[in-house]
Amino acid sequence: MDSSALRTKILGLAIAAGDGSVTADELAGANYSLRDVGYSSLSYMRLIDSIENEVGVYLDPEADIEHYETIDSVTALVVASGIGADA
Amino acid sequence: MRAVLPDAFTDAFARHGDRLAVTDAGGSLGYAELADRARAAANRLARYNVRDEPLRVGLYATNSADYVVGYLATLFAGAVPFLTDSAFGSFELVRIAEDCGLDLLLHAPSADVRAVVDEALTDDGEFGALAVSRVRRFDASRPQLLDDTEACRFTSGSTGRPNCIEFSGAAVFAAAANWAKGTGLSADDRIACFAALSNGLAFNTSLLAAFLPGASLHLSHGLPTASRVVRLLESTAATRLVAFPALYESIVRRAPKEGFAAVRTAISSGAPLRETVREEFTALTGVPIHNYYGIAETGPLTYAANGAGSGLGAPLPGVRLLAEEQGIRVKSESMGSRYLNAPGVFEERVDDAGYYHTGDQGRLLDGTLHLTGRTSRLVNVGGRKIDPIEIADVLRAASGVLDAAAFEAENQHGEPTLAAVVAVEPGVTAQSLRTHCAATLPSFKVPGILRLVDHIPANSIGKPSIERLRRLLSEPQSN
Repeated sequence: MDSSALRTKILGLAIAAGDGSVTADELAGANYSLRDVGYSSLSYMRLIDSIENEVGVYLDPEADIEHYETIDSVTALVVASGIGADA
Repeated sequence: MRAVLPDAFTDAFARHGDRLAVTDAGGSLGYAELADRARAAANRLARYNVRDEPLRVGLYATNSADYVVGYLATLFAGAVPFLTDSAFGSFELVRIAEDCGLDLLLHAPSADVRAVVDEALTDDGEFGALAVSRVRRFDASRPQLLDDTEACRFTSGSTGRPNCIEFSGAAVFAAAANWAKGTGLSADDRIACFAALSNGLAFNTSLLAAFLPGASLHLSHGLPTASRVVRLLESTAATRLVAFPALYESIVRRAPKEGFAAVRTAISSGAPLRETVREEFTALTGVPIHNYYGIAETGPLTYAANGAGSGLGAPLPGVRLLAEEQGIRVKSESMGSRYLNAPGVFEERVDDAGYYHTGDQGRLLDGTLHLTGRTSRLVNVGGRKIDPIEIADVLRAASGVLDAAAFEAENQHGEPTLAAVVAVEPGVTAQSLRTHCAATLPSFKVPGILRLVDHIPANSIGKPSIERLRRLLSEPQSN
């Protein structure tokens, strides 16, 4: 999976992990900032669980807290882990 | 009046001196080391007091061994700790400090605590990674504490401000001692605690309760995702897990194959745990989840000793519980005294016989409590209680908002969440409303579901119709 496909996958997982009112359009309008669309701590937990399940990577939200701001920074974090992107 | 808690902790430290007391990601402290650090920090705190009354110290930080040192130091210094949710933002924190007359805050150095800027408090590292700031001048007036108050915690108020519950030392001790006795805590237990120590779940089950029998307390903070939980359980060989339902949901989603070999007891509280999650967790790990029922104002009330079924268990020692038509009423040895910052409100909920009206509905079946509903309007999201009136008021204050209603709704995962329907003028967006809310509310109070409309549907007497609002959420958003 290249990083573009990975980003698309993470975007879909992020929408699925939200409370239900976050859409792709709203995320795009917020520059893909999860915090700006009201992502809750429970939503973050669901997102991290689903990324770990789908991509096979361990994410520590305390060690890398600044990487959970946007879809792009989450994608970069997963790529940097060396797992999940074939580059 | 002689304080209860300093003696209780001192006695526990003397009995268990060579045992492990507390660990976090940064290290560990034995009972004797913890006592030494707490006394050194207490000496430092005492030097900050220039008045002839106890200091009021807000603990505003996430879980850590330093937090425990700070809590104990406050007690040993003859001061009163105010355990404050670290999820509160600076807006809420300032209101709490003003309402309750806090003198000092113990906090992470990066936290925005609005310190009194013309005074620098120095220390020699007694508080570890935490900083101390003065947040009040000594000439300001403040409400008096009761003579026997030794600790204060907060609960969601109905006035838009957290209510500060005063607890006597005897009540805090009783909560811990009765919990330890009623749940069989022993010196062999290693407690992995994923709930914030400022919350009743952790405060009552894992702080003094752990130290009385000589157990060890293993702390974590931040999001308790399944992978992080498993790592802590494996590294500590924890026997007891204390957490909100969200952690158990995460475990079930991730379905880890290992990590629970030493765990004998898992405890869930704060919000209802779905029966399917309970069953799947136990099938996956072999560990039963024990419910408990507690109220911030009363402490722990029941414990499901057998860990099976949806019941909340039998009353703990020191608890008398009545489940009748007018709702659940309780009298406990661990009950708070009153709200420091809301005179008369607590007292209104206590009847002439001394029973506290919980606002919950339920029944006792074969001695086990089953909840059937609640009369309280608070919304419980993941263990945090939110007053929807407060949220609607904040939304109505936003530019371009005509009206707003906040209420509990089910999200797409079948979990309760805070929803808001907002009548707005053209140009107002969901994002602008979230930004508005986040400026004054902690993140957990920002509605997870926001729906913009041109008017709020009302019932025949002009009040918002919650049923119609809930139905509206299931319809596509119109532009």
